Amino acid sequence: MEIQPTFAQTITLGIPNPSSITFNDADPDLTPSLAANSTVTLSIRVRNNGGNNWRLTHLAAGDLSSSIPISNISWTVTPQPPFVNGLMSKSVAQIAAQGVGNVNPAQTGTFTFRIVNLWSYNTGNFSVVTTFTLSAP
Amino acid sequence: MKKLILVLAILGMLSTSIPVFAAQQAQNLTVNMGVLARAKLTLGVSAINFPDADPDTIPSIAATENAVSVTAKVRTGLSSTATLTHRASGNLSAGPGITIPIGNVTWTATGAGYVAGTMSSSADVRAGSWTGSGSYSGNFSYLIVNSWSYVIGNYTVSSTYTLTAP
Repeated sequence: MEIQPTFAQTITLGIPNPSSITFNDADPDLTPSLAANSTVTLSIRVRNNGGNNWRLTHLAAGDLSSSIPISNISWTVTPQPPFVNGLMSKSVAQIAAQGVGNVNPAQTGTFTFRIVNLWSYNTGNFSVVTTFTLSAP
Repeated sequence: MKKLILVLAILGMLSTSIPVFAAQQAQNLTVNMGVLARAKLTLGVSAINFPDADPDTIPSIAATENAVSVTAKVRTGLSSTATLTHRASGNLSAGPGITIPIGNVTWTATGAGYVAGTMSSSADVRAGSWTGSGSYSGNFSYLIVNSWSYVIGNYTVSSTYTLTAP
């Protein structure tokens, strides 16, 4: 009898750098699509995953405000794959990266976030927490 | 021998029944946005003209440029009110002492939030108001009372629209 112990996956999700981004005020006519003040890097590592799937998702806790839907924020990311572009959501975790097997050594994605800049946004300072979740399988 | 077999069987069961543990790790990213008050007003023309006409047949003269498009874009507070006002610098004037009262000029308005009014040089006249941010489009059509009392001449006056977003 051959005994092959099964090891649990080891996954590592780095801390986003920076851990917060800001969209600064701008004229919607001159800047209809507003980039965040910084790109965000995020590293992922998956080991002992065999041939299983893994994925990185992104979910917002809510809208930025009653007049600024979170779905107005999108991201582009490199490298692709394993990372994928997406649109923020407060209701459904959006895929930010996915693959099969291991990611070893770690890979780092560079995210560029943009928001649709509209006249309909009411004034104020708004903030929302979003969560990246790396899971396997 | 039976004990050995039993131990191996148990180990075998363990090795095949141990689940592949689901692994999950989460990290937060905070998203901030600052939105400042701003206002932008766009008029379709920068001047309007009232052509000469017989006061009996055309007692009210429409501006040649009617209808004049207008767009007010504002960013303000959720419950704040943005206002558009209009004020003339004086009466229509064709020279010293030759005037047509500015109150003879009126406008009608279309578009949500826009209102009709009568021009004034002594007070701001409300031409529109809106609660909350947005881009609001409409049209103004200008009329002047035509009167036999007007002295001949070419009259002019400037007026100013002011869009305010608190």
